[in-house]
Formats: sequence, C-alpha cells, structure tokens
Amino acid sequence: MATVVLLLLLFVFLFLRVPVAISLGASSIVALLLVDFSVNTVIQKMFSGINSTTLMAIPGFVLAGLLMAKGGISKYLIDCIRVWIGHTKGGLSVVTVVTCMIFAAISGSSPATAAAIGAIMIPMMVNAGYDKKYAMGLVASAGTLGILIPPSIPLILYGAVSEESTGKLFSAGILPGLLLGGVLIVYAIFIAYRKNYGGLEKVPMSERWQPTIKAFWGLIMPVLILGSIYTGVVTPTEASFLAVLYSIIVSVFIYRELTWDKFTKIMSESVNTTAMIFLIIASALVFGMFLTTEQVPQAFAAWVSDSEFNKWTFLIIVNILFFILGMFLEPTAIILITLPILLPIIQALDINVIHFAIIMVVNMELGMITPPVGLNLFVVSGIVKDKVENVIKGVVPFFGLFIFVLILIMLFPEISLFLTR
Amino acid sequence: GEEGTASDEIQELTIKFAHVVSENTPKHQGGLAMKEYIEEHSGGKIKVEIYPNSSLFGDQDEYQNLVANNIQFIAPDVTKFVGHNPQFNVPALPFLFDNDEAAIAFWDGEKGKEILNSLESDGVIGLYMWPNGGKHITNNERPLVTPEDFNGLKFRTQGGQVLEELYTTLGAGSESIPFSELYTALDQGVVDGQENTFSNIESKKFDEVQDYMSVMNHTRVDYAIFTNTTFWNSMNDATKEIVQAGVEEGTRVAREESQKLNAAAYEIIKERGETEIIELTPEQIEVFRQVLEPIYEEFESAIGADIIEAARAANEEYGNATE
Amino acid sequence: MKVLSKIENIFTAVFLLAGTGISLYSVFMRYVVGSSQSWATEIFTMLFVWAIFIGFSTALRDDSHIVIDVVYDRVGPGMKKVCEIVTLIVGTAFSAFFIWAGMDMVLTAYAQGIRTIDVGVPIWITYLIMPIAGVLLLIRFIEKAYRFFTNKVDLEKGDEAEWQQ
Ligand code: NA
Ligand code: NA
Repeated sequence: MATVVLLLLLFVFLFLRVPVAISLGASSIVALLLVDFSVNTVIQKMFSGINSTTLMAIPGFVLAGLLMAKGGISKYLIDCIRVWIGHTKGGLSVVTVVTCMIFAAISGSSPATAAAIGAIMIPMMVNAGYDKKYAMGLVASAGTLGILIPPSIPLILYGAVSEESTGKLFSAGILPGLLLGGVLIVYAIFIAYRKNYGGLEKVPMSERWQPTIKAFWGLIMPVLILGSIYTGVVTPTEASFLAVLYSIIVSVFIYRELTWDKFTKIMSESVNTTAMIFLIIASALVFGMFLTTEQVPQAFAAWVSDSEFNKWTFLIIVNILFFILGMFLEPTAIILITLPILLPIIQALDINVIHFAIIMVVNMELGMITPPVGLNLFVVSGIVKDKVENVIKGVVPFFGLFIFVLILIMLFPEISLFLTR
Repeated sequence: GEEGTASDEIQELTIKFAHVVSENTPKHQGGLAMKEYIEEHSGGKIKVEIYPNSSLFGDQDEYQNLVANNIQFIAPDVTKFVGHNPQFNVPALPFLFDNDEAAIAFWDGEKGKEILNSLESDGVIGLYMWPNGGKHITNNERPLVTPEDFNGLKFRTQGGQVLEELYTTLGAGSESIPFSELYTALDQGVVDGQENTFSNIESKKFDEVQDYMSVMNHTRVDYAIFTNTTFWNSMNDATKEIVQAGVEEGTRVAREESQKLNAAAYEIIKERGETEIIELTPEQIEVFRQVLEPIYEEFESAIGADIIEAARAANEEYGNATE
Repeated sequence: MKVLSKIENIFTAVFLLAGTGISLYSVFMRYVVGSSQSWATEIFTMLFVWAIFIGFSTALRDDSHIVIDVVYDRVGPGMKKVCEIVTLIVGTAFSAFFIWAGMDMVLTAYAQGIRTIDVGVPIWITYLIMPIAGVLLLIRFIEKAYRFFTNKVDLEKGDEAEWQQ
C-alpha cells in the first residue's frame, strides 16, 4: 500500500518537474511516515550515505574534468590528434572518438566528456560538411565512454555499494572501453565512405610536432592518474585530487589559460554538479531504505529464485529493466536503487560481480543517450544550441552499436575480467 | 506492558535485526539461531527479520535508528562506540585477552556489563558480547618478530585512537582505509600491512597480497548485541522471556561459530601457503607487551583502572595461563 | 541574496580546496616523507561533505538539479504554473523536513556526547551542516516563490536544456 503511494507520488512529482532528487526524497519520506517509521533518522541516512571516503573521488574527478575542459588541456589534445589523423577518410569523426577516449581516461563523467570534446569538434565537423545530426549523435555517443573508460563515477559508486575494489572495477572498464571506442571508430569510417566525408588537408610531418609537444601534458595525464593508482602511490580518491592539482598546474603555469574568473566559475560549477549527484545519491538511499523495510527487494529476489531463471534469462530481464530505467533515470539513481536488490541474485547465479558492473555501466551509457531523459542529449543540445529532438535523431543509429557491444561483453566475460587478474 | 490480564499472552511483534556483515559470518548465524528460537517458541506470533550486509542500515546510522526504535537489535563492533564511551576501547588494548573465553568472561562479568549498559541514557541496552576473535598482523615488507621490525612501516587500521597510539609506539604509521579498498591498497602497496582476524584475512584473501603474517593476537574484534529500551520495555513478561531466551540462544551459537570459523580460516591460510606464517613465542610476545605497556598508562584515566583490573582478572582465570 | 551567494561560493570552494589540499598533504607525507597522517581521511571527507551539503542550495540557485521536462514541455502555461507551484510546495516541505530532522540529529548527538573515532571532534558539530543546508535550501525556495508570485519568473526559461558535467 505505502509502496503504491510512493511510486504514485514519485511519478507525479517527476512529471510535474520537481527535481529528481527531491522527488525521490520527498515521496520516500511520505511513504516512511505511512509505515510508522521514525523519520527523524532519515537525514542521518542521507548524511552517512554521503560521508564516504570512496565517494569523494566524485567531486575530485568532476573538478579535474572541468579544469581540463576550460584550462586548455582538452583543446590542445584535440589539436594534436587532428594533425596526426585528421587527413584520413572521415578524419574529423575519428579524431572526435579518439579524443573522447583520451578525455574519458582522465574524466569520470560522460556529460563532461561530451561537453569538453563536443564544444570544439561539432562546429569543426559541421564546417567540414558533416551532417549536423550525425556529428551531434557521434559526440553524444562517444562521450558516454567517460563512464566506461576509467576513472568512472558510476564504477566508484558501484564499488561503494558492492564493496568491490574501485581499482579492480577501473581495470575491468579498460578493454570494454577500447572495444566500444574501436567499434565507434570503425562505424565512423564506414559512414565517411558512404557519405563521402573527406579528410582535412594533410599536415606535413614537420608541422605535427609542435602541437604534439604542446599537448604532451594532457597526453600523459591518463598514464599519470591511472598509473598512480595501479602502482600503489594513491587510492582512487587521492588520484582524483592529484588530477585536480595537475590540471591546475598545467593550465595555470604551462598553458596560462586559467584566469581567476574562469577558476571561480569552475569551482561553483563543480560544486553544483557534485551536489546534484550527491542529493540524488542521498535520496535514492532513503528510497532504497523504504523498499528494504517493506521487503520489496527480498520479494523480488524470491520471485527471481522461485522462477528458476538461468543466468541468461536473468541477464536479458535485467538488460530490459536497465534500458527502461535508463530512459528516465540517472545512472547514479539506477545503481543505488537496483544494485542492492540485484547483488544477492547475481551472486546466487554465479555471475561475476565485476563483470556485472561493466554490463551495468554499458547499459548506463545507453541510458545517457536514450530519450526522454539522457544527460548527453541535453549536453550536446546545450553546447550547439540545437533542439534535443535533432540530437535524438542523430543518436538513434548508434543504439544498435551499443547493443552489439553489450552482447559481446556479456558473451565474453574475459573482455572485462582479463585486466583484473 | 500494562496489558492487565493479557500480560501472560505473547504479543504479536515484528523484530528487526540489522547488521553490516555478510551471511556466512558467526554474527548472521547467531541472528538466524535467535530468529528460529523466537519464531518457534512464540508459535509464529513474533516475527524476526534479519537485514545483513548493511542492506537496511550501515555502520554510521544503525545506532540512531536503534534509538528511534526503527530496528530492535544491532550487533556492531564495540569499538565503534569509543566516541560514546572510551571504555569500549577494551578490545583494542594490546595483549589484554589471550583468547575468546577470557574476553567473554570479562564482558559477561560485572565491569563488562557496566560498559555494555553505559548507553542506557540514550535508550540503548547492551546484552551480550559476540566475539569475532583475536587480530593478527600481515605485511609485505618483512617478518615481524620484534617491535623494531615495525619501524617505518605503514598499517591500515579500522581507526580509533588506541590503535593509532599502538602503531605510533611501535614506530609505525596508521591510516584508516575503507575495508572494501583494503585488498587493492595492500596489493599495490598504498600501505604495507594491516591487522585482522583469521576469518577476515582468509575470506578477503589478504594472504594473497601479503608476504608475512605474524600470529600476534595483540588486539581483538568483538561485537555486542544491543537493543533499545522503548522496545525492551514494551514487552510483557511472557514475550520478554521468549525474546531474552532467543538472544541467549543466538549468543551461544555466535560464540561457538566464531571459534570454529577462525580455526578453520587459519587452517585454510596455512594450506593456501600464500603467506609466510610467523607464530610468535611467549617470550617474543612478552617483548611486545613490555614495549606497549605505556599505552595502558596513557588510556588508564579514560578507560578506568577498575576496568583494566577486571579484564586482567578475567584473563588470569580463563586465559592461557590456566592451561 | 548576492551576499548569500558569495558566502556560499566562498565556503564551498574553500572546503573543496582545503579538503583536496589535506588529502594531497597526507599522500605527500605518506609517500615522500614516509609518515602516515591518520587524521587526514576523516577531516578531508568531512570538509567535502560540508561543501556538498551547502552545494544542495547553490545547485538549486543555479538550476543544476536534474528535472524531467517531458510533460512540462508539452503543456500550456496554466499547467506550467501548476508544475511550478507543486515544485515550490514539495521543495519547501522538503527543506523544512531537512531543518527539523537535522536539528533533531544535532540535539540527539549533542545529548549523547558522541565524538568521531579518529580525531575526536564532537559529532554534533559535523552534523550542524544538516540544519544549515535545510535553511539554505529553504531560502532558495522562498526566493523562487517570491519571483514566481511577483511574476519575475520566465516560464519559458525552463525549457532551456540545463546540462551538467
Ligand atoms: Na572515465
Ligand atoms: Na535516457
């Protein structure tokens, strides 16, 4: 009964445009009141859910991502990749995917990746004669690599919920990220041949070194960040702060592009983004707590085990579930609401918890480009000032690619697990 | 309860027991035994729901939810309460108890009960200690045999000022790293070592990433089962009798399982052979005991000389000296 | 309101940067100097938590909280008004709850005399951020309500895709 009220209220609030985090929190509090729960402790649940050292990698990577996007690092990265491969068939689209991959290896978020690369690459592609919808779709899609290629905010969160090591989860994302990036590159080249998109003028070898040297500090950043985690100098959370320090040093002292004014804007933007994510985390925890006291996860788990689904039926059901949730919800909320329910089941079905993390994250990537709620769609529409509908038209052809990669990743667990051993 | 004539009738209740460890632990087994006993002896009138793995509340919020009577039982590591009452530091005091029996005897004794009941002003009552076992030290640098071997090493602890002081006294450093990050942190050398019970070392496979394990038994992990006064006082005699007996049955099982589990885990670690095991002799332990003695002086006023006295008396009676 | 925004921005930025600095300091001490700083984790995490709680209201101020526009974009101005009013009511209630429950936690923790495990700070001090965040949120919702009822709100502005990093 209270569960019905909760879901009803939640959807009413959501569709009346109450912020997602507040919709989740407020409807859960009402539902808890209905079952005579002393709700004064709810706020402590929110506080303790946020008060986690592991999760503090999120503000770190958000801040580092913004510093790179606005302090010159991403701009020079793009310059460098362009002089080397810009002249090939469909060169600009390949440059887009490759720079998204590199940026993804430094940033933990997909919208950050799409914004940093898209702001420069979409106008460039359009000027070179690419279809605008295609260019927008490509950036929105390649931008999602931000959460698959480590570091990754959803993987940090997954680690916090499942008590798996963030470092291991990061390793698991590398090969699937390269695979998805590779598939996008192949598709981009295929489209270039079909639509006859040319390349840029070839840059003579002698003129390639200058931009490469300029981009050096950005190029070594992934090595530095991931390297510092894997060599045991720092924990993933500390690595995110190293990334912040490094970006500040490079953009202030080397590129000299970080003004005080820019810096204060970056600070307030990263606080807002982090707070937005964490209010969803906090509210989703309360939502999950209500479901748990009402034994909803237990009932779902019992239903699954009574139905005696095998591993594959279960995975198919879960993928459909993720696809539907992904249309409406944020990865953060989806992970926090579903993972506690799913964990006991995936363990019972003998599915590797780290492998499942990657399956989940690829689903979340897809969710970021499926309407009606897809952060990457909004980002791209925001940076090029075009209608969301047009971005959606641009991303639809990419859905198939994501599903194809998802199937590969499910069929071959080693793609995810090889580097974790 | 003031139910008058109905006071000898068993009340219909749902009891929630939340904890933060997994299902294959002595704590969960104790909880299951408790559930089974209470549900059976109440003819199903009392239902017991167990929430493992922090699925309902975690370390940081289970206490206030117990106070608010959103749950009726929790069984945390007692050192989690050092911020409430420094006397809960007892399991972190070095070489205080030789074994589970001695620790149990202390917590079941007068002084132990006093500590467990010290949260009553919050509306919380501690019922029984559920042991997890003695802790041992693993590390990746060298065999730890003497206090000098600790010099310059970095250890992960679960936090707390006594443990911090312990490592400082040994010339080492300590950091609190989340338990979930510990395997990777050890593997990659963020810290050199850590301390834990055999069952934790075995189940988290820390021996895979640590070259040496010194069987020190220097400190302990002990849980206790707590309830709240709102709930406890709401039961009539007939109901309370069953619940009380259920808690005792759970306590019996949890204590028994803990010993079995640690013994089995130690065997598994030996069999795996991933780590060099150093069993310290009583003489070597004595050296550590001497070096760490100042910790007692430092924390005596906070913890209480009478408490330490009682703990030592329990160890005299039940510790290895009696064997 | 401008002064409040400035104060919020300064505090959040200082907390974030100080937290980052403390964590990096402990890395430096551990890795370069070889001495562990066991207090660092608790302190930098607390600073970040404080920044985030204040951030709830700055994110509201700057429209950074994610909303679902599907229905809103397809209804007339009357219905849009209904949406705005519901958001204001729910938001105000939510903030009030934050203040009440936050205050309750602070008072409870104060009465219980709990301290944090590593540094030994009284925990009610760290909890103070809960009612403070509630008050800040409430101020932002009241400001929104004021703008709404004095028609200073541009309903169409809501259509703009708000994107976050
Ligand atoms: Na990434
Ligand atoms: Na979506």
